[in-house]
Amino acid sequence: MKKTIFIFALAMIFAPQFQLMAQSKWETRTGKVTFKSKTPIEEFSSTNHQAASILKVDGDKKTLAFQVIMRSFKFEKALMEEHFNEKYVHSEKYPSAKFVGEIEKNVNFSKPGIYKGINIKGNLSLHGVTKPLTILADIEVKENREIKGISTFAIIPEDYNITVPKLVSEKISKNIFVTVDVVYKPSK
Amino acid sequence: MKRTALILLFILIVAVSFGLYQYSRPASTVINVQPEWSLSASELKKQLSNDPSLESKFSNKAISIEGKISSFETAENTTTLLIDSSVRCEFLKDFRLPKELGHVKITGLFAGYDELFEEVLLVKCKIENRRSE
Repeated sequence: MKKTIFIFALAMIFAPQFQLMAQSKWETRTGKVTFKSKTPIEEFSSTNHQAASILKVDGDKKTLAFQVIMRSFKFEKALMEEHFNEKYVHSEKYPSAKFVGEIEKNVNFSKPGIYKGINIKGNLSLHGVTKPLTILADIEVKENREIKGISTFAIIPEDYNITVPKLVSEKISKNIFVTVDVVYKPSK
Repeated sequence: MKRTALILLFILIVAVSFGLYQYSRPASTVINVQPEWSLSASELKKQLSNDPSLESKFSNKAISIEGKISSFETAENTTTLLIDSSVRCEFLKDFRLPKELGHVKITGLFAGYDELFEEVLLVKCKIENRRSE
């Protein structure tokens, strides 16, 4: 009987540690994604506050998954919103953009710290086209175990078969700058 | 002759103002159309997880859902309510969180299905009514 209690007590002490070592997960449903187009003639941007993302740490493997629903981008003008959804990204046919990537450098997510210029290598799926994409991100592991990540990168709409009509091509830049700004909470 | 010119001028003014109005019309922040479907939050999720092709069918359509608020999150100019752990509803700007987080009926525009969390996303939402349990 004493032995059973002893084993039980040991298990109680070590169980939480084992759980931490095995796999950790962080998530957010309200990541912010902004894209910007800038030409001498016109400048515009659009923001989305509904980017879903999960960050998983499994031993040395650190993977990131993102899903951004195109219809949740917000625009100032109704016409811009219509054109974006119906003429450019075709939201009805391709409702989401997805990114799955791996964090290449050694980032210790279990203790507070700041990491600059971390490589994240993965694939971006947008408008029915999947292409490899490597982005640079700044990562901050906070005291309260939250993780803040920010990254800006450029994409070329043509690469994803998004065609810009000649008539407006001077108003839309060749490179679209995308900024991703997320705060992950530990997953329950 | 003068009359024809006047009529033409009038038509031109109307056309230009309509064009300008169309061009500068602000995007809506709250849904202003009648819902085409009305169902429970969990039923909507179930339908989408069973048949992914519904995502195109529902795209940008107004849908009313009912259920209990599971959680909420606020950020600048936006609040997100999660209903019955199955539908996420985004409210823009002047949204005030209900005092009691009970049963709600919400109308919003269907945006898509989030495969990561297995949740439906509605945008430009408004609360239709509130009834305590």
